[in-house]
Amino acid sequence: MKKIVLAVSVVALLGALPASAQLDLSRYVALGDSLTAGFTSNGLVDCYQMHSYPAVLASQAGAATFEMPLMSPPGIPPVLELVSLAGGVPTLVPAGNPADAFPYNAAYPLPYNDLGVPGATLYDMLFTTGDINNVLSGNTDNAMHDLILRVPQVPNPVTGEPMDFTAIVQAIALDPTFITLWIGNMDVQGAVTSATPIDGVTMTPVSMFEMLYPQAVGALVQSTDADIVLFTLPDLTAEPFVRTVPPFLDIPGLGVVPIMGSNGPLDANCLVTLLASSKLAQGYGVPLPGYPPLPEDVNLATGEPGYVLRPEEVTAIQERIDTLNAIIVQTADAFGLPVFDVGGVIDGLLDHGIVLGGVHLDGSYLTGGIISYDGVHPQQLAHALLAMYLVDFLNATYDADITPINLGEILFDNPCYPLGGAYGVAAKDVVFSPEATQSFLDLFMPELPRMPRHDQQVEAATD
Amino acid sequence: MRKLLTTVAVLLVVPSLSFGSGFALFETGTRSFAMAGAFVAVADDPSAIFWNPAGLAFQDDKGTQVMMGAILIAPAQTFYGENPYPGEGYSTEQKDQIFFPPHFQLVMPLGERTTFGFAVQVPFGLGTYWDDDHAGRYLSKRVDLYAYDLTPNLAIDLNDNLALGVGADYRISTIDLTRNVPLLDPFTQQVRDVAQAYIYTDGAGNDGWGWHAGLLAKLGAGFSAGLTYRSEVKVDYEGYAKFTQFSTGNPELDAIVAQNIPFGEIIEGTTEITFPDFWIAGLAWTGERFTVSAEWGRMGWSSFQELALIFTDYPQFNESIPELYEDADQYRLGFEWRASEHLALQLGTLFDETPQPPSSMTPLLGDGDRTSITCGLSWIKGRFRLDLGYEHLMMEDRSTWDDEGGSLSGYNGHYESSAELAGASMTFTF
Repeated sequence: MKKIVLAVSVVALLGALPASAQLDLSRYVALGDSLTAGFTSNGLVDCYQMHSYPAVLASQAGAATFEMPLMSPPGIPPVLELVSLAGGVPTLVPAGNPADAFPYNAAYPLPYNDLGVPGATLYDMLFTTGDINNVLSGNTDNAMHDLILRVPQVPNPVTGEPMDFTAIVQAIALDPTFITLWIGNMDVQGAVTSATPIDGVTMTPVSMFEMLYPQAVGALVQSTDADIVLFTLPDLTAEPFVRTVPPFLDIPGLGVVPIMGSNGPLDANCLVTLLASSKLAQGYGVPLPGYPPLPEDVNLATGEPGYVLRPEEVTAIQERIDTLNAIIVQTADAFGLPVFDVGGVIDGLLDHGIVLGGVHLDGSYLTGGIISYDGVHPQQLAHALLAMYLVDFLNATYDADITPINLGEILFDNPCYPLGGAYGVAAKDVVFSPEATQSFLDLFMPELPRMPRHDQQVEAATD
Repeated sequence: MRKLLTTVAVLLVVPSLSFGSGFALFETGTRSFAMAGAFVAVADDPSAIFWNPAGLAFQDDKGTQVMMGAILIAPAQTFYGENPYPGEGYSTEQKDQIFFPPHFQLVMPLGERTTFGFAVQVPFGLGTYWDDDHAGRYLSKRVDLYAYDLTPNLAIDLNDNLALGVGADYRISTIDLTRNVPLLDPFTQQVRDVAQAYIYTDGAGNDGWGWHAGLLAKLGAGFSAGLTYRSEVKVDYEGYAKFTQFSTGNPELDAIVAQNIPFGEIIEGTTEITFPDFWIAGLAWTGERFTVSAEWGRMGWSSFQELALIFTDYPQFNESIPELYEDADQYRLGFEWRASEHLALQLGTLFDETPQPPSSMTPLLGDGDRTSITCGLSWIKGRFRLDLGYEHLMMEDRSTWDDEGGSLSGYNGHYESSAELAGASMTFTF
């Protein structure tokens, strides 16, 4: 295995440049998770990455350099594609062999400007490192951090002692002039993916977020002279991932009947995950003797996700997001930083959509144009829209002059086609292949074997 | 009878275009047109039926008059895209069209004090036509909206200096709208054109009634004052829609589209438009050789808040197009110089405020405040009169972003427009 050694510059840790009077995106760093990484259709692939909101913003602002951890097709993991429309039921599978994908620029000698790490929680941003040699040697346990952060430790420029080269430290090392911070989605997404909100297991405890978020922002404020914008979180229960499959079945001879869940028949306000469609196709949830009920909650022993969010669970997740957003706003107030309400933007796009010259885009799965095939992540059109709102926000907030977004081309041109595709007329029946399902869960399910992880994290955070 | 009236109107009236603010038309006679429509206090030819029917009462000494003519309109409009859609750098022009809304008036004295008038005229019209592949094709590729009025009037001179005119307006209207149907192609995740929708009415049954009244007073020393009111007219439309499928090149997608759009069928739909009312007031002075006339008008365009297309059997195609018009004022100033017994020259200028907010400008109609200069001449020989007129119209260049939030339909840009108009009318007196 060829070792890759990076000559990462951390000189910037010592010498910060004076703050610019105007918004300066010459060294823009985007911190976050899969949403910031440009992760789309369950994969990280160059064509979507280059159309992610940070890349679009950097381009509009004329940033000379915005380096990203670009992955070759078919993507890591391979992005989803359509393999069948038989019976009007679209089936989604990974677009290729994972072994065919590779990072284009793993030897880039500086930290990437886009430090969004798919699956990363707030804790991960502060404490998790990656080692490119680990993933190149075939160990995929920590693949995304390995691919994006690459170097686990560097010498502390002051003491000379080894220090963890986490995402936030890499961000500081770049001596950024501008930082966007969109972190926290994955502190709740596990509750949606597993259809089971459990504090400390599928959701980061509020106390931990309340402690770590100001620490993270404080570190960025104190260690850089960058202009920093904090992002809010969207309502993750509005994703097509849980808004596509209905809580009932239309069974010949029986008519429309509620799905039988492991806790009883579902009511009209229950949300069913996209992953349930494969189980339903196997006969789960049919309210007749001899058919197994649809598992509603995560199986802590096997790691199999649940498939149903009851209304009280939806409320619990929404309240958690509201609480985290309040912490984000409070932190911004404490440090005098602006907040870009990207959560509100996404909520609006998913709820009532946007019209562009008679073309209506909304949260409909497969045909809405906002969310990609995995039902969770924005696709290129949505990233362009997020960038559009972000540019407007920055121009208004900083009296900046960033070029507004032109959607005239992206509306008619998917940069990644023909990597994937599906049709949504029968979207409620969509089937994720076992490979696609596992690929999705590998990234976005909580790491159950490490439970109760949050205790260890609190301990680590308070050391 | 209704069918017959429709047929008559359609034969008499040919395509027209919006060249008053909103989609109003004021081209009902060439002489009044050449005086910029500053005619409410003049009203001394058959076009008084539109501007002030009371004026008919003071024309009884001319005998029976028949006037007919048309105003040719050659519009030009260019759309320049703005961000986010269709974006900076995009521009497109309307296709060349020439419209010629005609007019026909009959004025017939019934006695010493009473005069009857009848007109066929086009008080509203809209016609825009863009390239098939223009970026706003999902809103409109082509639209034609016509309103034909059949207008009987009665005018009475209450005394030598004051006249009253009243009349009814039977309005027949048609709408044709052609546009494309988009679909976010789930195979490619990019927008595709999957069909063309043609929405149309056949005229029959799409009608409504209104009324109008006017006063004309001779104030002495050559001065006269006029006041006219034309009521709202609500037209309920019953129409149809036909869809033509476009192949996407993907048979699976085309088959699914065909399952969801009733190609080959004619589906029924309804809509309604409340055409605005119109107040006009003015003052004129007429000497031996000169006439000077000024007037103010207000159209109650706030009646036009939306265009709702309802398809009862296919509610998925229902649509409400926001219009959000506001009442709009207009100011007109006209002159006439009677050079001789046989020749008169006219001049005029007008300012016509648009009722359309920038946010509702679309390829259906991208309006703006209008400023015009007009001129004309009349040649009179015995019982025959020929009027010729010309107008150069300049429209304000407006952007959808002039309203906070931009275009309601997400089609942002600015429209640059102008038009040249030329008219001719002939009047025969018996």
